[in-house]
Amino acid sequence: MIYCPKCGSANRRGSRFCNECGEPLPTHTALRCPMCGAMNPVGNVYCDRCQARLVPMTATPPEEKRYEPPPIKGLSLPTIPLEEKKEEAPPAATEDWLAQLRPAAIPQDVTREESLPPPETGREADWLEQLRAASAAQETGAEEADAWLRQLRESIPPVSPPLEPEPLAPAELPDWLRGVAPPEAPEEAVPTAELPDWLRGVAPPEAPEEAIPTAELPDWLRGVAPPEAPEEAIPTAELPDWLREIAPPEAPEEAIPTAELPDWLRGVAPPEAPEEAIPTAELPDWLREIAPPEAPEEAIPTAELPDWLREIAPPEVPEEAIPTAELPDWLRGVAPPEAPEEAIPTAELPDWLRGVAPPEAPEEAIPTAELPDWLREVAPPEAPPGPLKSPIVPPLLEFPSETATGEIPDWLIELGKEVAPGAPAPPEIEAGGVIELARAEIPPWLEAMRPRPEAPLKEPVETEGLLAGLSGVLSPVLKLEVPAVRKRPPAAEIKEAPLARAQLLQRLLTQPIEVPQPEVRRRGSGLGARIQGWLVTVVLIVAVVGTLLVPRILPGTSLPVHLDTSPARSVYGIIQGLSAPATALVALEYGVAEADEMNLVAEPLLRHLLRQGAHLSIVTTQPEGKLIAEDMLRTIAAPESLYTIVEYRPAGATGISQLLAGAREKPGVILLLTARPASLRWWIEQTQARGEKLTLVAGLSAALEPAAAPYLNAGALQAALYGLGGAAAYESEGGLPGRATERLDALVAGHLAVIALILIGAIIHTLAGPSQEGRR
Amino acid sequence: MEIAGLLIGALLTLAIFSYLIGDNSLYRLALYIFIGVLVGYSLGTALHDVIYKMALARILEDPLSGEARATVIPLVLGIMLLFQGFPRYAYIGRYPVAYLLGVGTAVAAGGALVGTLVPQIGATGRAIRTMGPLDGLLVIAGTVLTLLTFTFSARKSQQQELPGARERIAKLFRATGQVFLLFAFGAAFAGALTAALSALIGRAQYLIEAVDRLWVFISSYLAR
Repeated sequence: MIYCPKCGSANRRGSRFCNECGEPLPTHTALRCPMCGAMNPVGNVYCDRCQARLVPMTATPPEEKRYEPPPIKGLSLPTIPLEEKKEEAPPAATEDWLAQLRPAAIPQDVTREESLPPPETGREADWLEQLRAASAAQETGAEEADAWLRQLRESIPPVSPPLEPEPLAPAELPDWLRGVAPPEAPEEAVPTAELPDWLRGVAPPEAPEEAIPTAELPDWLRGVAPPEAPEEAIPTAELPDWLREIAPPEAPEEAIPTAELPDWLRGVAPPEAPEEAIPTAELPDWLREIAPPEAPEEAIPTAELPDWLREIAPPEVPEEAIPTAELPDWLRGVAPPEAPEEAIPTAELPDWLRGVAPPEAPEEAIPTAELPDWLREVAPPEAPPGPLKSPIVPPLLEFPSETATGEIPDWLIELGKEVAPGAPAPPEIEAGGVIELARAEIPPWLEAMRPRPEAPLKEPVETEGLLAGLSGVLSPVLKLEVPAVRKRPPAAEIKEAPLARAQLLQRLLTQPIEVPQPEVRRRGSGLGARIQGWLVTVVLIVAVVGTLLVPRILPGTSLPVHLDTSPARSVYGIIQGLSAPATALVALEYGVAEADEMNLVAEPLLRHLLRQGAHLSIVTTQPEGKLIAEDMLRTIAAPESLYTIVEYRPAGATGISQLLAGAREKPGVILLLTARPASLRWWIEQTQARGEKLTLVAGLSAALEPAAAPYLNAGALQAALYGLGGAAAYESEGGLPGRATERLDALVAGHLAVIALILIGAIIHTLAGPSQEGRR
Repeated sequence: MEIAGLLIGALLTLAIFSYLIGDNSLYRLALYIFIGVLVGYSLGTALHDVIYKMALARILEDPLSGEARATVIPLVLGIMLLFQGFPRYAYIGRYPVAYLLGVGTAVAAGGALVGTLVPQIGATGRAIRTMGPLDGLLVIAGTVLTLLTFTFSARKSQQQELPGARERIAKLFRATGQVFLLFAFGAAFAGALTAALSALIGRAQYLIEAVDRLWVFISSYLAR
């Protein structure tokens, strides 16, 4: 049946077009099973004969593996035309032989024989037919062969990581290694075109045109070889021991027991089994069936063989085997034993085995135990330093055919070199090679990205905060711009002089203000001065008070007083010259302090005016003048007396000028009663300033006599009466007795007392000399 | 009441006399009472006699009269003077002050010229004729020398001194003038002393009369 690549419908064999869709059917294409070599129609995924996988398994990421594609049955899968394959990559003889070995070992499936296309004719087909016949002739049946093959296949899966949960998980493998990893299922064989180079060399040829010469086959395979075996057989001594056992029957003396051989090998194995066979218990289960019964002392190390050969290779009995515990579980079953100390030189191997023969282990090879687990599987065999030119020698690192060499990171290549420093370079690509894996040159920019072997930098570990325990935490960096700090201009150089002045000024400002007070020496603060003061006071009081009291005690007694009556007579004459109803303007310009003296002066004058019948108009520029006038007039004025208190006149000379200017009528006389020089001057000046002929008489304090004399002499003041003496003189002149006369004796006594004190003081001063104060 | 006033007066007088033994509280008490009463009385007098009687009374009595209208300007000037108490508006009070100073200076200057200088110069010139030759010459000499004393005594430094004999004459004038001043001040001091004695006599007389009145009052009271 031919399945349509478009619609998948089955068509009868030999049809050129699909009966359903009319699509041309591929008539000359078919899929050759990589395992049994049977031709399968296009669209088959598994071989119809051996159920080997026809469609290559490509390594896909885990997430891609989860995707279950629809059944591909009916699709036109990529195929390789047989003709082209033969022309492009003629397999080697050994490869063809090996490829034929497997199908020969696979028992014929009678049930599928009919569906399979007829095997291609060839010499190998003939001897395979004979081999099959021989196998069938023996007791082994087809079912037993399948069972053995399944058992063999089941022993392989441990190589595939995804099938074993304990070893490396697929996700932990790099992508490029997934392709190199062991196949997930041995049933799924990879097509020859998609196999790596080193596998293609050992893969069974699809259609070998030339049969393998018998001489190139090992002895133990010569029995399996076709009848036209080569005339020159390899000497048995040059073969490894384990090959001697499977060599032709005449080689080994001790044949493997037939019961311990696989069924398919029982017919091939030499009839005589070796007497000293390796105990079956020491062999893995999967090897018990194919392993030669005797473990040769000098055998090819299994580790140097490709994986697929390890399955059929005779088990080694390593002297120092790697402990099984150090190997991953999935490798324990297939872990190759350590290479023997003495390997078979390549030259001694047959040609067909030179490619398969393990390379000579370098003297300084890295032991397998030092490699990581995942590399033990893919680690290159310990090969001699010299590169093997055999094209079938597996490369150091196997990559899937789809993977370009340029995609392999260099570090892995370098690592592979480190694992096997003397390992041979990748197989040289022959001109006629099928697969040309050219090592790509890593560009410099990619080379710069290669991870360095240096130890990672030890980054500090956070010890506090939310990120405690984490390493590699970036240290916080202040991103905010720090406001610029204004740089102060450099201080100017300060000279000493300004600095001293500034310091002095600062010191003065900080000190409390102490206004220097002139030392005032209080007069009389000393005891002598106090005594003098008390003495003067007592003398004056005694003189005055005594004089005042004497008339009370001794009436009629008085002191003889000579009064100058001329000033009083002048005043008296002026006042006496007034006639009624004359108006007298009385200017009362003294205060309370001068009242004791001025009242004695004013009383005889006012009484005289009142007696003359003058109308008194009393004015004052002193606030208290009005009070004094009222009090005095209340004492001396009779009820019928006419007087008027004009009110207080402020503003000094201006007020006086305004008063004189505002007078309704010209006063007959202006009587000035004052004890102050200013008032005397103002009244005299303003009176003179009026330009009118005004009569101005004054009753003044005794202290103003020197000040009034010039005006009196100049005629500005017509008459003046001074102090208590003048009042007493006026009273006596006018016959108006009053208090002035009574106090005149006291005044005379006081004058006498003062004169006496001045004289006494002068005498004391003369006698005692000038005092210290006077000397100063 | 009269006795009470007399008694208070007598006590205040004695308190003032207590200053003879030194500054004391009684003296200060009497002094403060005297000053306080005087200022209070003066203020009352100014308000009553000036502001009310001389300004407001005239305006209120007849606002349209001439006196009332003439009073407005002084009243406004007086109000403007109150702004002197506020530094921010003190400039307002400067106008009435300027007016017062101007008017006062003019009045004083005119009165001094007419009432003092001219009469006294004339009197000095007439001194010989009116007072006699000796008194006249003495007055003239005294007046001139006193003026010269104030003139030359103002020189302090050697450079301002007159050269030669003129300086000696100037010094003589100054000394003679100072003698006249001494006599003048002596006469003034004698007058002041006479005034003080008169005040003392008056106070002593007041105390004696107070005691007499108290005695009479007490006697009359006891006689009742």
